[in-house]
Amino acid sequence: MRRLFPRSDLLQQFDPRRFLRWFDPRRFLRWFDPRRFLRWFDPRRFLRWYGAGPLHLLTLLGCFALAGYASAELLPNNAVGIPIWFVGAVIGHDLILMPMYTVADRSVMAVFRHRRPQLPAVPWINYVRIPAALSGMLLLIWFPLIFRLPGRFTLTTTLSLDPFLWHWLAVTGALFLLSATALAVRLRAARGRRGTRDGRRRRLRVSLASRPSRETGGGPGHS
Amino acid sequence: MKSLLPSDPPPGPFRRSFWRSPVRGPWLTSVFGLLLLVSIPVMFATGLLSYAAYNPDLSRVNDETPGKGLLGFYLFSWPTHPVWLYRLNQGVHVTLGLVLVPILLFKLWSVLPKLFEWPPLRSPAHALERLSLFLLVGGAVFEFATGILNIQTWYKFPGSFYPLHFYGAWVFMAGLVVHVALKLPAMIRALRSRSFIGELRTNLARTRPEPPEAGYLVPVAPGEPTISRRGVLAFAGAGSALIALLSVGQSVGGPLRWTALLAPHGGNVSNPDGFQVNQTAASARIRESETSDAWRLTLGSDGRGGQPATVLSRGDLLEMEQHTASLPIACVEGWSTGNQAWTGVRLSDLARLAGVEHPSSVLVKSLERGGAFSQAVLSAGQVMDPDSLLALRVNGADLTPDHGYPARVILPASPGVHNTKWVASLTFRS
Repeated sequence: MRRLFPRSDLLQQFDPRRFLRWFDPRRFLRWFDPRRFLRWFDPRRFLRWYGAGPLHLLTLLGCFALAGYASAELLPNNAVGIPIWFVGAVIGHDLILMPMYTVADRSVMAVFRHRRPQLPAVPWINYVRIPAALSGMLLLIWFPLIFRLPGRFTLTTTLSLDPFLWHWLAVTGALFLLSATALAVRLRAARGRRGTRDGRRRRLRVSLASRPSRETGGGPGHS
Repeated sequence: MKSLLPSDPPPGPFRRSFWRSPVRGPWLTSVFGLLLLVSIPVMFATGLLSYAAYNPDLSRVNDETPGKGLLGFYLFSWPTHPVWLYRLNQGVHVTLGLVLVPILLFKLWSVLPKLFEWPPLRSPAHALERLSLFLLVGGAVFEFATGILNIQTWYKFPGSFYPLHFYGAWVFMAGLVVHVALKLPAMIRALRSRSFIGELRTNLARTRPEPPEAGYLVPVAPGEPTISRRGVLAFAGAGSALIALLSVGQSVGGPLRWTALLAPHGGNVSNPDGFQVNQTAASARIRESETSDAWRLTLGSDGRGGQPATVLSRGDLLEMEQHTASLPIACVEGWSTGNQAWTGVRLSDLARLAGVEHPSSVLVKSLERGGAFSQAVLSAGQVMDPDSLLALRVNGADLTPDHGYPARVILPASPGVHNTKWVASLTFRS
């Protein structure tokens, strides 16, 4: 061959022996090593890829089987609305409600941060945050009654929806009043304590005043 | 995933330094987790019992979720005693559910940094686990939301309450079981890591963050504490106590009814009988002409040896032997009345009159047309109980239209809606 076409590289590339080598059973078996494929089914290798133990996988599969079985009956009730409610529940809490109350809490603290000298020497933020949060929780639960949303309520139950807004406002007022009273009592006690300390341990107080005190609540409120 | 996303988290909540609260940590999360671990099974059990109380297996008429299949495996014939059984079950279910709202909110607050883990998906196992957490959180909020809206009769959820709340509970439970299975060891470890009594003695001045951990709860750059851990527990506890104080009276009754200022069926009862109405005659579109002297009760029998229907007027019923039973009305919505003295004819006497000595069930139909509970099928046990009446009078006076005049069924220990009002016919099955 080479003598006939001395300059052809092409034929050399298509050397039939190269292709015939593929049919060499030894070579084929070397390539098609069954262990190479079985390795994929090796449980240890699978679990390394999966990232946890077999019990973890079984538990989760059981969970999804049960959830799937229940969803097969749940979803036909409203195949669009129910998934929206599930996703909305997560987004509504994690990405709306929770950032909202966090921002509110930090705003209140930030607003008062610049008035440091006048602020009381007790953790005053809790006397705002707790009544506000409790009132907010009541609103979160009972807003349909408070805002008179159930249209047929009075017709079906003979009960009036009018009192609920006033009840909520009254409870909110009572919570803040209670909180203010508790704060006043605590401030008085703190002042009293400082008075006795003044008399007995003046030198210690002077040395403490130079560093920030944790006793006073740490937050922006400490003096 | 690793190759697709940068290994450094983007600015914002994905950075651990974003989360500053020094009281977040495995111990605090575990305390709220433990509270929920004890209470949610009670919620689930009372919910399943409430479903069983409708005797859904007895007839399609009673069954709001006919496709339940294996999920109804536990159903049994609902007992008739003690008479306060359903009242207690539903009061616990609804009041406990309301009281758990702050606990759930605090639990979710305490674990929120984990929502922003980086990388978001570490492995297939991690991806599946996060999917199960979606079922857990989505299911929990879905169950609380549907329940809380339903007791206020604001039906804005996407479908009928019964299938939504029932199947939704199973989805939630699927998420919860896997969460408990995976996290229980960590919870026990965390609870053992600090002394509960010790935490109750730790004031704000001595509050320090929990020791750093591999998880995402303890902040890497904690801010100054503004509340102690015992303060957080008291905060949540105060929320639960307040909600309980303002609502438990609608289930317990007595003087507490007047503290139920934020509960749908609290203190203000304006109808002449002095106890709560679930559905008025006007809302059920019962016409006065149907309940006047022209009203007749049809007693039918179904099955072997049936005889032609018996027709009775209210006068005929009043001439029969009258019995008085002291029974509450307890609604699936959690509110209930105290015991009222109901007077009327025993259902078992009416069965005998219809020619069915040992009925296996009775179909009760109301004058109300349409409506999910305009009819009900009662079990043999419910028919034969001496306290089960076709009531004509309550507390010594004729029934008012809103309480079912001319005649209503009243059963011991049964869901309120099975005490069918404005009864038109009773069909006994042998």
